[in-house]
Amino acid sequence: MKRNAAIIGTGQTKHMSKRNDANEAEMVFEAASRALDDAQLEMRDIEAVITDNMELFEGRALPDMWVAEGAGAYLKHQLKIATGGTSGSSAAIAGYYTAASGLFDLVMVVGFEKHSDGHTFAGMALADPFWDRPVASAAAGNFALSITEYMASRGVTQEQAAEVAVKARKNALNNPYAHLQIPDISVDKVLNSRYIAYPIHLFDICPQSDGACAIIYASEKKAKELCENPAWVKAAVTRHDTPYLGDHINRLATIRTIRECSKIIYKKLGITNPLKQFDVAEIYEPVSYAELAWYEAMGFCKEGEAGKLIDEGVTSMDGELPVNPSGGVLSTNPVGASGVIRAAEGALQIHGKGDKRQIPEVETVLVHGYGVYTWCDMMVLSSHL
Amino acid sequence: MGLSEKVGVVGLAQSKYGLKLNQTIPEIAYDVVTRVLDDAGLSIHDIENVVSSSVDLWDGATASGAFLTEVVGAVMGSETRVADDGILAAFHATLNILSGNFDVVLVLAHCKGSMGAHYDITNWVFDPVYQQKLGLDYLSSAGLQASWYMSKYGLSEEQFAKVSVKNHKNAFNNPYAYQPMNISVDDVLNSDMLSYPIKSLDAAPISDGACALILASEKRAKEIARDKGREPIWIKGLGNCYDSHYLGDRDLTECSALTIATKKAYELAGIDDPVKEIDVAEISEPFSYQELLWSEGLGFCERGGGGKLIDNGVTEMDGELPVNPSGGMLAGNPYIVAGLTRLVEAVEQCWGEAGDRQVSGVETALAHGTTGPSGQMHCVIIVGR
Amino acid sequence: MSDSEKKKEEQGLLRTSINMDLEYRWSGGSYFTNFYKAWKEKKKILGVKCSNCGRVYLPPRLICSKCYKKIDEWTEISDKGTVQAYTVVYQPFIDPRTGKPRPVPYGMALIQLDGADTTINYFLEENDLSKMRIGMRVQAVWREELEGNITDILFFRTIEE
Repeated sequence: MKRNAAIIGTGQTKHMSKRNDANEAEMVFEAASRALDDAQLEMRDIEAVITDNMELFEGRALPDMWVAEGAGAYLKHQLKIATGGTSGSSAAIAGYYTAASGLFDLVMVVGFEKHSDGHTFAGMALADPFWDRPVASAAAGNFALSITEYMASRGVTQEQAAEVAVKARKNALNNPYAHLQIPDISVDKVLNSRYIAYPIHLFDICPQSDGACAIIYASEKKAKELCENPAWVKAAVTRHDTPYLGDHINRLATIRTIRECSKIIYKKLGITNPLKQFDVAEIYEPVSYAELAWYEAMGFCKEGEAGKLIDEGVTSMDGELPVNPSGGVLSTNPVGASGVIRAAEGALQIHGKGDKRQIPEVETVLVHGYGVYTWCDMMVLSSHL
Repeated sequence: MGLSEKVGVVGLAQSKYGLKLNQTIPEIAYDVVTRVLDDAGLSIHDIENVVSSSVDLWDGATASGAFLTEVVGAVMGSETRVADDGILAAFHATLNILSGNFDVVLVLAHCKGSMGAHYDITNWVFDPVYQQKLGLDYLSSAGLQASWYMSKYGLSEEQFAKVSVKNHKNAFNNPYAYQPMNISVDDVLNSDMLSYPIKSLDAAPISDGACALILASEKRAKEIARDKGREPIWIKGLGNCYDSHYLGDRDLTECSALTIATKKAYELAGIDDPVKEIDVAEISEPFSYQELLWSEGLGFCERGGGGKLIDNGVTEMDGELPVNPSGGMLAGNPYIVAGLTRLVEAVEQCWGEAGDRQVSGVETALAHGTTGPSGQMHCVIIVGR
Repeated sequence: MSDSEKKKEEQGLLRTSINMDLEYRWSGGSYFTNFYKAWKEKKKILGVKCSNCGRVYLPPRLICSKCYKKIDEWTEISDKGTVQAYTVVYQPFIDPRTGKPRPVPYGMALIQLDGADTTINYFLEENDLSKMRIGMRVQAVWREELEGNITDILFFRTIEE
């Protein structure tokens, strides 16, 4: 018998390139405290903690040991999740399972990453040492390859990708926590910025941020007791795929993991028109082109029409389905936290706490996490059970 | 208060632990996965979710679970990874089933201790601000804990050595153990001093391997086990707890985290008198003194009574509460895998399938896992018929 | 607080650094061992073929994920192939082999070698975008003395075909 759980509070740090004023554990504490304030709870109320982080980036063997107290896990249950870029979304889903297990009523999930503490070239260690480590050119390099395939098959242009980048950074201006604040962002600015790896311009790609984000789950009974409008988890699905970049021809266009997750969730919830039936989507777009590919994979439009969707402003703040009112990963990317931020930003839309980035009358939110070439987590949050 | 639903173990498998210099992690894992499926009488298609356990810094790879995806059948499947001791993967899997989202979950832990410099790696567990630069690692922090423990309660190096003698001898009955040895207390006392008072025969050797089990919801567990002519072994109680990270904040002779984890597990399982009600215990003891200290935290004796416990033979194979018939970590299983191995051994005992290391009449068994400096994290799982 | 005061306060904050120097010994396992043996001794590229569905995987690996079946069949793969995707990298990322930034710009592609169902990610000799297109044919240029690792292929050269 499936039990219910909901997100009843969120909190995050102001994400930036260097948090010199706080170490990793302190940053975690900041996010956790803000989530507690948001949910009007005390640290002692939390019964279980889930942390997530890509530990090799900061050179930590077991960061859950160091941040335990900051996350509120002192003398409590803690688990640390790490699944590459999807760590945050895996942790968010794990939080739901934990709060729905019947063993814990209040669960804190904290994702964190302090890129300035380490070197993301540790990310090169994702590549197999016998195969593609010598050629590894970071996320930008491998995305660039897949993007040229995608562009050729679906006809999206650099301008359309730039429009995605502009939308994200404009949205970020409404989000006091977002890392990148670029008031003069424009399609021209994106297209004139230098190439990292063709066709990705500097402004097409996400930053590396120091930051943490926390969400608090409550079991059904507690959620109803403690929260006026809990963000209920209606569905959660994970799909992983093989580990080599070259395994899937045209991986952005085909991305079978997202397609499968969408199929399962839409069938379960009776979603036949996602643009209409979702009020907000918080999706994981490390590079502008990826968002266009995700539109097609998530069924927001037909194959080849992603460019049209962004041209027509369908996914803007005032469009039919606002995508990433938070500014997305394109504006803020502490990798371990990014997946949790998607869930947090989705939940706070339902809580009505979005302030300047609040979309009116939000009932149903699609939350998505991406990592390791094609891995996918998807979750749907709703204002009603 | 008990668990709201029953979760049962329906299959298990483990590697022959040892140095596997010529095998890759996927090869080691695949061997264990095929055998656990066989043990349960299932095919990979019956598995709905996989929870694996591994640590990047031990594997020398970021997102170290990525190369496991294919061999655990999680390509286009649901998978997550706990970046800590395998016993926590079993905990996570139990929560997943209790939440009602999955009926059959594969749990796996792997580690190739031979790949990297083990104790150097453990230095990276300590926070970089205060402790790491002191050169602290698991060995030196264990030395600190052992000497404090010894002096507080008047225990001796001989008593610690007795644990090593017992476990190395027990290992002769265990076809999976790495280093069965017929040694005397003097042999242990004369072995190389590593970090006072810990000598080389007081410390677990470095080894490679993996182990797995399959958990299922009550209904499915009964069906699956019945097809194999047996009953599932049920999770009766579980508890997990983290202590402070800074060694100086803790009284290393108290097992604050273990006491809390134990209390939770015993409460759920309805255990009041562990020595009477538990028939066999598998405890993670990377260092010999820890078996005694953890026995106190588990309530097998009063505080400071660890020495008397081993002196009086309570924990020998023919004692009132046999501890580590498998030989424990001392006779060789890798870190990260060890806690899950303890659970696998506990279940074997309940099934009466433990061969020469079988304790007679086992109804209830205890499994314990620990990681972090001087046992910062402890997890206790009680299983039974 | 004024900007200069903020900067002063920032400068008072401490940072500490620790160098990570951990050595690992990876095992190639039976698959990579076989693979690099044929590579070094015969300059042959081998893939593995699933006897159930026929999919040919490069790099070789233990199981076919589609069939969840151990792959035992080895098959020869050409060192010529078709570019499925390409890019030119302008950012000097660190070369994991040297720890130093790579000289830029360099061309890279996803190449489907004749006989394989997957692509491999590798360097191109070409670094002029205008000379690259999806579908172009390339061939491996090998090092004189083979060492038995992937870098024995220096890059892939565009060929007319």
